[in-house]
Amino acid sequence: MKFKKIILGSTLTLTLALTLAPTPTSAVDILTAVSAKPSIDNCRQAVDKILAREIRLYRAVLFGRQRAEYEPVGTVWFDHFGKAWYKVGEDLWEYVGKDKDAIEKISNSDMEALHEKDILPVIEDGVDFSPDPSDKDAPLYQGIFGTKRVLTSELVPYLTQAMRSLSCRSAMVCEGINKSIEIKSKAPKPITIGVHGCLSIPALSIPACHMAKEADPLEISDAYQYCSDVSSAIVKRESEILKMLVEYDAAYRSLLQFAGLFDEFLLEFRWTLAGSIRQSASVIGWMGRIPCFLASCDVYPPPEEE
Amino acid sequence: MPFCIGNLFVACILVFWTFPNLVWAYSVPARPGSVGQVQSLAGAESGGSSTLRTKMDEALCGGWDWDQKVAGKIPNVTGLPGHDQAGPLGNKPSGMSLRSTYLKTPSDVPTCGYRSACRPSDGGGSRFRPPFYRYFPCQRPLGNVTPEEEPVPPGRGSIKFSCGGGDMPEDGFVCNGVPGGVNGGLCGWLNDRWVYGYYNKVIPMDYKCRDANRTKKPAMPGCTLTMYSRRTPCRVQKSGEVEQKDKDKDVVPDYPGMPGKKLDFVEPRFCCTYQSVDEIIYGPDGAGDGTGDTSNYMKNCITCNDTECRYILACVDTNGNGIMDDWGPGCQPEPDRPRMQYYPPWIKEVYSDACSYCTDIDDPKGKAIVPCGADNADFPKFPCVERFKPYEVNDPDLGITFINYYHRRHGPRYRSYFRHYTAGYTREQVKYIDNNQKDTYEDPIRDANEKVSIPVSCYRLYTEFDPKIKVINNRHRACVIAAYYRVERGEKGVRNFWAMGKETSEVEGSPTQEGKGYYSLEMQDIEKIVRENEFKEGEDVWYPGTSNAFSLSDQNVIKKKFENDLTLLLSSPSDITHLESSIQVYHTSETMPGVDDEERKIGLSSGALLRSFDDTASNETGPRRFFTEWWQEQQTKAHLVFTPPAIRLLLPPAWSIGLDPLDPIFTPRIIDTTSTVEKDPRMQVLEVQLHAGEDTIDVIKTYLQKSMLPQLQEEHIPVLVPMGSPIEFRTLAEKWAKYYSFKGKTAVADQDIVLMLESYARQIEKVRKLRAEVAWFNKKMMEHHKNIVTTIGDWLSTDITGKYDMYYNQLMDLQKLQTFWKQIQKDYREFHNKTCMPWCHNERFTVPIYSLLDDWYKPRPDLDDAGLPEEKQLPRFTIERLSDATFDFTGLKYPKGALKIPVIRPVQVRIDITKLAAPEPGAKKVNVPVLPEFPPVPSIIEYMNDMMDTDGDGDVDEDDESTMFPDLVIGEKPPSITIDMYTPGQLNLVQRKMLYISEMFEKMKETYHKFWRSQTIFDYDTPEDTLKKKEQDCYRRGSETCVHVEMDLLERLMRFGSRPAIMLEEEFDKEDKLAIGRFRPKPADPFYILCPKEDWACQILHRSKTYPQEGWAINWEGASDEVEEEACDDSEGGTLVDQLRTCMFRETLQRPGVKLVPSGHNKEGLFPYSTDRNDIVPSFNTPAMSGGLIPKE
Repeated sequence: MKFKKIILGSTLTLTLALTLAPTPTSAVDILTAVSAKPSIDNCRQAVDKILAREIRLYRAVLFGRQRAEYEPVGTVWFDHFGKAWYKVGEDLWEYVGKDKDAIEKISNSDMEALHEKDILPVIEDGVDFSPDPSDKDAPLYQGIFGTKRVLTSELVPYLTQAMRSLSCRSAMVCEGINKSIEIKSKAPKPITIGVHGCLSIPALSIPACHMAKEADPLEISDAYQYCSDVSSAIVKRESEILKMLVEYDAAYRSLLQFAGLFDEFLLEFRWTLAGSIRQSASVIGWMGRIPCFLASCDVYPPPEEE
Repeated sequence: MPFCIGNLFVACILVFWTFPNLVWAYSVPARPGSVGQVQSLAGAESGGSSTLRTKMDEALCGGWDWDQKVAGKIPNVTGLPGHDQAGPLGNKPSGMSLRSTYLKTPSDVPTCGYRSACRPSDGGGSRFRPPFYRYFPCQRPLGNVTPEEEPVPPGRGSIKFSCGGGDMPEDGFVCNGVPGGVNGGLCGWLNDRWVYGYYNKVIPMDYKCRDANRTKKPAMPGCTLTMYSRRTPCRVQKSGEVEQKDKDKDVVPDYPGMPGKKLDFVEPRFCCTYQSVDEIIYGPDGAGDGTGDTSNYMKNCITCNDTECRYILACVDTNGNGIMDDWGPGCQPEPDRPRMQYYPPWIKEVYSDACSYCTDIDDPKGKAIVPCGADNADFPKFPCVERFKPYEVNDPDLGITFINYYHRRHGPRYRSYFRHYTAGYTREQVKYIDNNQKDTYEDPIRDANEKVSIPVSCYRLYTEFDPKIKVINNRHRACVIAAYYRVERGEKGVRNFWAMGKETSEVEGSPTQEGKGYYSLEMQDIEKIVRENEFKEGEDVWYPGTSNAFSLSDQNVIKKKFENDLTLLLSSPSDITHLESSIQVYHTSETMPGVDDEERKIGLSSGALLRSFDDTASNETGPRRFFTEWWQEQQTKAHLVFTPPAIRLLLPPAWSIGLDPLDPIFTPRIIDTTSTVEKDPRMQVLEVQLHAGEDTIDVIKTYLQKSMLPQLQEEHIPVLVPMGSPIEFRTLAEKWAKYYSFKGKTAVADQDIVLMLESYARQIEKVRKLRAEVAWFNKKMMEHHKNIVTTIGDWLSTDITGKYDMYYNQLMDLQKLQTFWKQIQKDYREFHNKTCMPWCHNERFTVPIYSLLDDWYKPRPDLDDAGLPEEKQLPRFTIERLSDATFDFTGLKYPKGALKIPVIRPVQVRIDITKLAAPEPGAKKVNVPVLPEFPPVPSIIEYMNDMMDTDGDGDVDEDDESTMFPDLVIGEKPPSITIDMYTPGQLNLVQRKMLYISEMFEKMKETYHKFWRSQTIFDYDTPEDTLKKKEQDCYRRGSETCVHVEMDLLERLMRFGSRPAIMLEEEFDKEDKLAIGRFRPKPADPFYILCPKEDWACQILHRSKTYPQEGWAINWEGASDEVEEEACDDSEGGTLVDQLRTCMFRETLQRPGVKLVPSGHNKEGLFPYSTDRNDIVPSFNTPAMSGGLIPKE
């Protein structure tokens, strides 16, 4: 399991601005966002983009990343700088750019090379999205849920660990913001981020949040508070989503197992027996509701009201 | 009644008996409430009390006992006419005894009765036919009942005569009283009331022996002759009144030639015998009792005994060869046929000396008469002798010569009209088994094996015939087997049958015939679960030894024997427990000769091997039982009729077409079975598996249509559209207008922003139009769907639905018909189990009673109807075997993949209003934004239309393949599906035949019911008075007690006396323990091709017709969305959806602001969205669709 350390670097990029508070200016990518002039708005935008990337990384860990070649037209990938690339053709990705002339076009292989990476170096157990040179069909990254031939319960430790990593990393983003607030310089400064329960990692501060000069305690407080709110909301949301995913995955895998068995079974017995079984199934259905095939049946049926 | 036993199962004879006399009945709850209750009912073995078992033990009778022989247990009947047995086991396969060819007649059995020379009147009058003498002449053998004297006690009906006279003896045995009964009843009337007057005249004769009164010749002194005999008509009159009545009626005969003079009344005489009422027999000598009187005195009615009571044709030597013609069982030599009295002149008169004279020998003329004593007297001359010479008859046997003046005249021979027999039977007792004591016979054995002194009376003219050959009617049923007397006669048992099946306090040990044989001792059911079986690896398919749950199979055997064909495999029974739920009898090489292959030998059930039998067996036809065979054949055919061809749908497994729980084919309507308990599932559904009902075809249709419709897959096409309000734009435009107005500038360029904002306001409304895009696609889709649905629907409507309606209606008709048939079957069963089973008995190996067939069994006199004209044949179903239809949809080819429908997914982004904000009027240094044109609200429809109209002429290009909806090609029409059905005509015929059968059974039941009812009509509870009135009476022929036919009385009593219902040794074959009706044909083929009617009623399967898998295909190959054209100028190629995505991305996100180059005022020239484009891009992300539930290879 690689996704366990976090480094905040100067190359943070971000999207996901639409769902957040409106920003007065149009920041483009994560690099621009973090290097913007210190202000509360720019700081918030930097937070958004950094956290958004964390989520993308986290989800890539869960679900994996397909080869660019196999992504359908209409897929959006982010590159290492936080630019959003849209797949417009079989082997063509497009970046809309800041303005009308900034359109860039690259191929699948370039897109993979340019692909957003974990801020934690691979050598330090960061997520490795680099393509496997020996297998051009292998996904860039095999997600946890993509693990085959195991039961969901066997995935739970890994999923838990991933969730914990997300918690650490989002907390570290805010801690990084916290530390950046106290810095006055325009350039990013090296800082060390330590969060209780997580490994400390060296990072660079975020210039957009260097608000020591402003010295407006309210704004300083707001910057930190904003990050804290957003990150905890994200973690909470993702944990709920993860619960749901586990339930779905468990159900899906059960069904796969069941379906696989039945597949063989039905192939052999065809209609004669299958008809009877189907009939039985319908009878069972009529006898009463099938209680629960999902992983979390404890909430169903709803408890009687007292 | 032979039908009653042995129809197929031993169990048949284990008839449950009811005890009407018991005050309470044991009842079993139909729906036991708990397992415990069931156990308690089931008996001690199941952990409860054995009440049920005990009750059943008590109730049932019969069983089997191979330690006893049949020999000696067939009743030996005495005292009755009929055909006796000629070896009960001589024709074992027929189930009936050999029948003696000799007809026992009154000549062979003690008989008494009345006979008469008169004949019953048929309306026309003649001297031999008294008007009061009818064909059904009398009842109550004794007693003086006549029209003038009422019966005491009063009888019933219109029969006015008792047969003879005297009093009915207490015991009903009338022969002692018969000789004295010629003066009473009918016989008395015949003798006293059917007479005529006899007249003659004694006249003096002259020398020429002529009437001296009428000639002038001198009379011979003293010579008189009795001449001129005449008679008056026969009338119903007393003999003493004849002379006076003749005078009153002025019918006294005239003296011929002597006007005014009458003949003299001599005596009243019997009309039918010509003889004197006064018991004078006139011999040839003219005297009442004298020389040559060889005649019996013959009244109109006399008694008869034994042979005298018989009447058959006299022997005739028609060809004169001295040998009598052969007639039936033999003819009767000319009996004492009544002849007319010898008529005057009497021989002694003719030869009287007074009637002679002598002539003078010396008289030359020879005419002078002298006394015969004179010397010159010649020899006396007897003129009368001369004259009557021609009438002289010499009888060398008698040694006399007499004169017979008239030609001989004969009246009819005596023929009996009433006969009385004294019947009895005896046979060995069948020992009963006490099942509680096992192997011990119960003591005392109650089997009523002997009955004697049963009075039997027949009330009709004696007719001799063979019931096997002659079909008789009700008029012949005129005998009463009057076993109704409580009085015991002799030392042996009671005479009636009232205690045979009923418990009565008057007979100890009653019911007498309820004995049991073995029925559950040695032939216990084999335990259901056989786990310690001998599994032979490599030979047996299924291994049943694992547990109670699964049977495992042997792969090698499956491969070797079944060639891995699962159908065969599954039809092979999993383990022998299924086969051994009933009693089995092992097979041996001897039992199944000719079958060498050990595997093909089939275990035979002893229970199913007892052959049915009936009264249509005969010596000549050997094992044939025509009625039974016919019935078994009809059962088989009826089953065929009521097994309508099934329609089977072979559908692909659900998973292969996707788990669609909403498909009607997989969510069958559950038929509520509670309300249709009586219905046979085969009758109401096409295929049980499907729970199909009358809407099955609709289900199929829906299934096909659903299957053939393409799966739809929505493909999102993100489109960026500005989010804004027209009002907002117009407000801004207004502000800008004000600003310009204040400024005083009216240059058009300056007004651009105003116009642009106005155009924004208008354009923004177009966004709504996007909604219509989906509807457009849906419409396109619907059109295709409609075509598919209609095509399938039309096909089904034409080829199936119409016929299926007929088919379904026919099922309904069949169901009605089946109800009718069930009733017939029920009648048949009731006939055996009730009608013919008033008490437990086994009729096997008794002699057939052919007269019981007369009313309903048409193939007579031969018992076989083969070769008879159709109207005389038994009703037979003529039905052909139909075919089951199988619709095989397993080869149905489904469209691959899904049909993708582009669906616009608008991404709305607010417009940055601040950039458009208008300055205050009069403001300076205003940076007027140059607005790009409002981004286009793209229409996929337009794109697609453009694609299809490359030349821009407004029409879709010919042969354009760029549409994502391929043309629907309806290929060759699938093969017509035909449902095999019976024609209405065939069904009508079946129905008519059933009606015939029903009528036939009705009559059959009635006949046999009357037969048995004759012995159960009375019982010990019948009041004494009622009983007395009916003893031996026959008021109506063919009803109540008077139902028996004289010529097989013997067989009938034999039937009544047949042994208890215990199967004995000979009913099975001792050597191989098989019943006599073992499997006739070699069961050569596991699937019986033949269903021999001799022993089987079968369930024959239909043929099966499978419609080929061809014809079921849905080819959406053309539905690929790969297109050659480009959807837009910047298209990057690929599928249409991909192109649309790219086009929309560029059109709505990249291009706005690019196309419109600002006139220098606006640096960026981008549409003023409030969000950066890079941040909008992620909203265009359209991830790959999930692969669905089915795992990919």
